[in-house]
Amino acid sequence: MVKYIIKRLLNGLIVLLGVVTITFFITRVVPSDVAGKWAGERATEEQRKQAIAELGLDKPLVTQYVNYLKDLLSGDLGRSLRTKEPITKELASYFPATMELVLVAFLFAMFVGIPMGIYSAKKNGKMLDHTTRFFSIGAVSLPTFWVAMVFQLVFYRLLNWLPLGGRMSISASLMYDVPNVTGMLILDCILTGSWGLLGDAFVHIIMPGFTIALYPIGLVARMTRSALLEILNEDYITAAKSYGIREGRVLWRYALKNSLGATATVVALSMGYSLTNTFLTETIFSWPGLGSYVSKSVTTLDYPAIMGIAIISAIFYVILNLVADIIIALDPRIRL
Amino acid sequence: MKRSLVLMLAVILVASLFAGCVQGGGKTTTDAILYYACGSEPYLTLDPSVENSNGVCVLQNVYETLTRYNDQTGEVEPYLATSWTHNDDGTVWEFTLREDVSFHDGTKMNANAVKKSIDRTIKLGKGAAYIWTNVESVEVVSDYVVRFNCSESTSIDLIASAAYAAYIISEDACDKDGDWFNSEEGNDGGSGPYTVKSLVTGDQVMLSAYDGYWREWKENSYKMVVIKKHVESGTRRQLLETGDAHVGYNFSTTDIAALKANEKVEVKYLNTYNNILLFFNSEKQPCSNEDFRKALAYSFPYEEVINGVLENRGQLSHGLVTPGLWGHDENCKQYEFNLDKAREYLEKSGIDVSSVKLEFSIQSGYTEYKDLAQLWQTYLKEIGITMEIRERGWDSHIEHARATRPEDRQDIFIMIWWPDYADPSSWFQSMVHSQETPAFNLSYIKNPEWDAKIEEAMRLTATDRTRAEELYKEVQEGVLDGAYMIPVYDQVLTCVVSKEIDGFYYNPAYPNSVLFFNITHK
Repeated sequence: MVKYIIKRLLNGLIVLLGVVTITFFITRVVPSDVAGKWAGERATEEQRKQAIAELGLDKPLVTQYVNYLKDLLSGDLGRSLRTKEPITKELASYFPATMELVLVAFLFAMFVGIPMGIYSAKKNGKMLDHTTRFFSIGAVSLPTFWVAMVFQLVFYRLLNWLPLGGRMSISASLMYDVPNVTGMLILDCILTGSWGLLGDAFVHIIMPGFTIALYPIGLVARMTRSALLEILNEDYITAAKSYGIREGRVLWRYALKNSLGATATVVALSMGYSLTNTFLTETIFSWPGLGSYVSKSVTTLDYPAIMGIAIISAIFYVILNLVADIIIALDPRIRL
Repeated sequence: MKRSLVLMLAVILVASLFAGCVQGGGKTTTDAILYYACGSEPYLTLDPSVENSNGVCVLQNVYETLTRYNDQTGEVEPYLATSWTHNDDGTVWEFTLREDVSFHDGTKMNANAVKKSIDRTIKLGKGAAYIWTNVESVEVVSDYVVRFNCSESTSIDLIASAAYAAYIISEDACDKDGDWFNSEEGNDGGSGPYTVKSLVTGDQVMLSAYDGYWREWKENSYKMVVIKKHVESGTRRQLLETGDAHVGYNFSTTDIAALKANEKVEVKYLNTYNNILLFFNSEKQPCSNEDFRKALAYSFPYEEVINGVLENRGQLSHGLVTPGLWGHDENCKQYEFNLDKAREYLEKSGIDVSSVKLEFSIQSGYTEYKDLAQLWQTYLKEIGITMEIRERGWDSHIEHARATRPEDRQDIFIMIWWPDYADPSSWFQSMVHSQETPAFNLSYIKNPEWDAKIEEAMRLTATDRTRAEELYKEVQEGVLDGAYMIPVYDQVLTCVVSKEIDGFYYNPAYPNSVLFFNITHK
């Protein structure tokens, strides 16, 4: 098992090096006025020359690449061309916000998606099954931005139950000290015991979290349902039932456990997908996360930022894949 | 599993209880907060020497400049400086400073701070620092008198009123770097009415009133301001409709229509110093032909663009210089949409239109450019001219226009322009004065007579502004008469302001920013 994990980790490192190399050269090949971006559109010739020297653009591409790798090893991702801030600082600000959203979405996906799948499988072919299937297909196919806006209209404008957007209300941020330990507000509130702010942070994350969760919920529900249905037809389930074991116990204890392997992979990958695809949701809910940072950086060809984002999402994917692989490997049927 | 569901429900219930407390308890605080909803990041950097973007909306309220431009009178007014004098040729300027101003860190605003601030901006050389190009040195004459020595006649009074790169910073803060100014804890070295209380990178700025401010606070002015990014026009609209936000900019046309019908807010159309200009390539056939250029100028549907494409987010231009800025000429020649005249000039030009295929380069990502280009394309077709629209990202858009060989460049180029500070020289020096390698002179104008006039006008700005204004008017007549460059429209900013507040005033010399100090709640 340890050997397997080490092997997977090494594989991951190779993937990362590949991502760094490819994005580095692609971003340099794309025609872009880098010095102009650093110094400003209306910069004088002198300012441009200064910019080229500061950014090391006068050196050959290979030297630039080696320098980038060196900096990367010491944890320096360079500075954004647009804001001139260190990329690590910007990522440290945006990444936890998105991570928090994705984690909440993950919880929604698990706690809503799996029960939905189970009940759907249990009531196979009945009304409840049809309803949940209708919902799960809807969740996968409805455009996020539309759902987000409908949520806003209903829960903010009409009912006024939930806030329109942002991570916390302005009055709450003035009344309480905003903790900053991990950058994930809810977690930080729990860690520092800021219970007043916790409630505020919680109501702010419900709408965006649920919007992002919609796709994984649908996916998880459908995966769980089909995996369970297959298992429920197995002989050992029939045997268990004939022993007189309660149906709930058979379903939750024996059938579900065996169906989770496939679900885990799907959840892990859909989370990786969510991380870089929260843009629309973040935009609509004014969530200061990675999504809008990605789009701004790409549209302005801010290549140090693009590289930073590529690296961090590659790391995230590698880790998620590793976790999914380990979960599957825990299954005795495919023990290595 | 059931247990976890129950647990989750319990958490939700408890959390909503808390939420109730927050909303209830926070009400009194919310009332005193001015909420400014902007459509993009509130700042790129809050280093006042460097920022050259949206951050003006913050900096204008935290920092102050020596002078300030009044767009109503066209005059420069005292701000941190009470008065100023210059020598006969405008190369040496002396500013007398207010003596009752202290920075947020408690230190006095004096000549040393002014010298150190301007020196810092020049030394960093970032952002709009080039506005100080002519300044050779800044000298401390006495505690409250500072002298600028310039290499040639320069209107330091105007430059000192700039929205970018002219802020006066406390001496201690001058020693700090960008990371300090951008710290989320909120640091600043200003003397303005507000201090930076906290930041959320790329998302939100919180300002709080500075008690030691040199001007008197009104009883019902806002002691707290929040500037927050809401990218979606619809989100900003909802915030204004519910009364959560007080000011918002740039709405989609549907949202504007809805907000107009709302009694709680007022929709304002604000004059700006931005204009959109068409550049004809005067070095390449067929646009090198003056009559052909005129034919193009008469074929452009100005009014239709303003009413149809922009839905009033623009107004007809009169000359290169925008209204509200000195040098603007309301009577300046302006082309109108007239296809008969266009045909007339086309015939006069002697150009065989069947062989012509124009390339119109536009910046991608802006629907208004694309829409106006397509509209124009159909009218050009009516007079037999084929025009191809090429959308490019800004980098390749401008690089293509700066290609080494003139024949590799586009035929028609479009770009937005605004002055760095309240001085029309920006348009003339950047876009009309001849340039060996074109930077922004993208009609590729080479006219020694105009060059001389522009240089003369810039020299006279400090000492004889009336004459300078006349010279600019002459050059601008010439440029328009020869149809080298055509201002298509002056940009109008849509802004929605809550009727709960008073004292909102937009000065186009300070883009996207409002002095919160003047705003009071009703």
